[in-house]
Amino acid sequence: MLLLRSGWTKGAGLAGATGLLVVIGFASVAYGSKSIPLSVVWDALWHFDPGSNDHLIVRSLRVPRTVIGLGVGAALGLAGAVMQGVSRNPLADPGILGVEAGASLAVVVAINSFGVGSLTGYVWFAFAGAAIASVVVYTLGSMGRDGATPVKLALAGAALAAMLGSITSAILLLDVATLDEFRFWVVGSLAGRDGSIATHVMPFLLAGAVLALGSARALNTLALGDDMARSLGQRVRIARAVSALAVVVLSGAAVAAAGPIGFIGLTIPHVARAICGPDYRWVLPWSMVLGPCLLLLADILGRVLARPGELQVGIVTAVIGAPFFIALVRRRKLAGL
Amino acid sequence: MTAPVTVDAPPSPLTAERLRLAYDDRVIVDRLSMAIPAGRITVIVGANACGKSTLLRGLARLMKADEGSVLLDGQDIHRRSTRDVATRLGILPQQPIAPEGITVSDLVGRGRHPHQRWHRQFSVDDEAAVMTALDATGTTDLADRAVDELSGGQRQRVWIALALAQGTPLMLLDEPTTFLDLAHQVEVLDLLAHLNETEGRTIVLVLHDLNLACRYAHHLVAMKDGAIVAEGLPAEVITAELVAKVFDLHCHILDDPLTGTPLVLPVPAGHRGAA
Amino acid sequence: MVAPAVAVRRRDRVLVLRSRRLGWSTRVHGRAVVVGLAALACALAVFVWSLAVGDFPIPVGEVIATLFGGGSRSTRFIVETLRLPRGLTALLVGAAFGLSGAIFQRLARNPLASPDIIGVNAGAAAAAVFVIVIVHGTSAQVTFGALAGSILTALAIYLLAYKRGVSGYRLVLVGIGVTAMLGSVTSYLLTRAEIFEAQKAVVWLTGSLNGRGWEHVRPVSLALLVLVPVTIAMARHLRVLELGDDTARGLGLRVERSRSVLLLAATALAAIATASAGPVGFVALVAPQVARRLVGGRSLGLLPAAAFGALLMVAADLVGRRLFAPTELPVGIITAILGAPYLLFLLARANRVGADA
Repeated sequence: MLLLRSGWTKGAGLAGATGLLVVIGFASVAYGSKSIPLSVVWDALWHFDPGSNDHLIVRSLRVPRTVIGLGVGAALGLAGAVMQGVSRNPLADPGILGVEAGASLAVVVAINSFGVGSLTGYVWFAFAGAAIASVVVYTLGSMGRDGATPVKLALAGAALAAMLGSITSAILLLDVATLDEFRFWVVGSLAGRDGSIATHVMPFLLAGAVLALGSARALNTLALGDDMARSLGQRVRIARAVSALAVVVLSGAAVAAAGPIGFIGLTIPHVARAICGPDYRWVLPWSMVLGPCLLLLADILGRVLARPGELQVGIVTAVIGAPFFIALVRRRKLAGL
Repeated sequence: MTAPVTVDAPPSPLTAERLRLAYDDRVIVDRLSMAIPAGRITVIVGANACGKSTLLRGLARLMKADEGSVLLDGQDIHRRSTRDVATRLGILPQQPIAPEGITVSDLVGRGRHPHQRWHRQFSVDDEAAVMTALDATGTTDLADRAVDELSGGQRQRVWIALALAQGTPLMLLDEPTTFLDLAHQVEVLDLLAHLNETEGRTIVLVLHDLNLACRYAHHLVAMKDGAIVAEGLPAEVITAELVAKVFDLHCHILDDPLTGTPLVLPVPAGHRGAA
Repeated sequence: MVAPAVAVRRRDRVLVLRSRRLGWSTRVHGRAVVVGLAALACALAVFVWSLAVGDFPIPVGEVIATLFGGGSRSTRFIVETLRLPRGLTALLVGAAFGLSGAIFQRLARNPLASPDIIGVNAGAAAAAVFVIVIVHGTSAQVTFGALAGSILTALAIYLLAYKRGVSGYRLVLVGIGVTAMLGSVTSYLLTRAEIFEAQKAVVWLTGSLNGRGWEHVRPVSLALLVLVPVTIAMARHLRVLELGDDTARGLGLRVERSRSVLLLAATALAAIATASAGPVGFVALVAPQVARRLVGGRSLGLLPAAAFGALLMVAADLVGRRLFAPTELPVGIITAILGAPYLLFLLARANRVGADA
């Protein structure tokens, strides 16, 4: 992996990566499980004809899908980077705070007890579940005099995930119909997400992104250890709480929109660090750009390789993410933070 | 450089010949040769990252050499089985790990491993060796205490007891005094000196403190950048020029009024001009 | 002085058994023996109780009589064909998990280490779901597939992490990668299945002892028969490995070889257990810690961990069967519910101890 050293190369690199993202974004609109010629795609964007099926596919399916993919990818990348910074643990991902466990249980309850059947319906439940679970985890983890240290957060998160997971399993076992719907949501997918989901989720993604990018300096100081950070004047508890809030909002919104998608939160920050070093003022924006690159790429592959059906993005991310991550682990001593 | 041994001295039990040690692509020690004098205390000194720990690990077969060889009793150390080596050479690495809750006598007992088999897990000899080791290090009263409850000095003595119980004629210790206060440092070094005198064990130490090294060493080895700069009697090796070269330190050398060995006095910044 | 033929010396609660003539000696830690036997006794008591309760309750006296050859045709059927193999599977699988977890925790020097690290669960899950959903296999085929899956995954993780030796950190990272990937594959397979197969798969994935018969008891007992002696033989190597790689090598231990053998044994135990009962959570995590706390610092506590694992498993299965009778909750749900308070207990302890990041 290249290590860009000067601020100038990092900035230029970031601009380049953003350009790459734009290209991938267009590709995501242009390619899909139905083969549509590029000229038609172009027309659909600028000379929309509501009567044409292809134009409808492009406008009402692919464009929102791409937009959501951008948002979710950025959110996951950012949330992962912030989580690793707050917990000083390069193996952390937002799941530690119980986000996925909470969202899953909420969706299962929605299907089972409230008869909710649509993706849009799941969104609010999932978000609420993710938020409540993380708050509980954070509160449990911050009891005691040290506050929410990484070890305590991890233990609290694992405990809650165990509890929520068993309740979720119990409900799924007792009600077949719930299982039948849940198993498609839990895989993580961008399929069938339309514009309304995008509008519901975007404000949270934006708010979370602002919070996250704003905590870059605090994360740099926290990386030196709590004592060192305090002596440098950092308000450790507040910084941790704000960062955790950013993680919750970002990953909660992401999981609400697309279901649990793994790997991005875990691996993208490592790639970002390998490229630009451990300074969070660069790691965060890089993660924000690389995340959607990976996600959209995975989505395009899933749609194109499995024509006329599609492979959910959660699967593809894992299948390409894993070998890449392992190669990274083997090739170089992963930068600690 | 003075020859460290006289004509009728016993052959060196541990020698390095054109040794090259590296971590991945980073070469730490290159074409280094040295002979550890038998029955003496050898101390290796040098600035941080000069390769002293690496050299010790290479001598103790904890690291495989890229080139060159380490000879234990004249035989390539990597040719002998590791258990066999463990009956001749013991090493106490930096910051050894004690399992949670283990007692002193248990920990020292594990030093007997090279002498044990699956059917001979704790023979009379093993028990006697443990008792002797605890006695020699003054830790018999601590035998049933948990190691993690002990003070730094006590813990280090327990680790030395483990190395003693192993019963090897050669003992290598990597910075055994680094995290101890002065009183404990002296305590540990006195113990090692005593063992050397009474039992004739060959001891090789890596030390940070130059003055303590001068006091206890029969044979001093000064290293810089992975090579030996000088070796021999402390009084002959430690000169102001050498200290400046190896440690990048401006100093005066006196004779220690208590032991006669060299005493290194760093020159304070304000007085630089006067030296 | 006449040396006795066999000497037993009692020294600070450690029994040293020695035979001068044969040149043999061994150490037995009294407390570990007591704790282990007590746990075993409790496990057996719960086991017998589990034979007595159910939709057709049978008085304990009759259960015991049936076990020794008496009893009526119907009690013999219920006990011998239905409940006995299930109970035995519970005991044996629990013991295997407990022992495996104990070895992993000692090797990793970390109370949170467990066999999932080496991908046993994820590999078994993916393979089992594959057999259920794609191959439409029988229960025996699922078990076999799961076993193959976990062993292949463990091997893959080990090999991928191997670079002139295996560093713990690299192993954990590669484990995380492979496990996550297999998890996705499993979820994907669930979306491709007919709903009723998906349901069967989910039951297996939760960890269940439902319908376990003698064909499950046999492989696990064979595995324990082979691997427990291996573990006992390697125990003294484990004691030295615990001191760190450098010290261990200095004491003459072949570190990579010993570690590999121990990892292999622990993985095999976990793989067989998972293949028989599905990925039952927390037994491998909790049992060794409970054993360790009761046994103290002198003994490795391997066999007591196995005994506690057996106790945990058989008790959890009993609770799962009877709590919401006639509905059965799979044993995996009960153990997961137990896991939460255990982790919270660790959290409270971390609070009291304070410091650390």
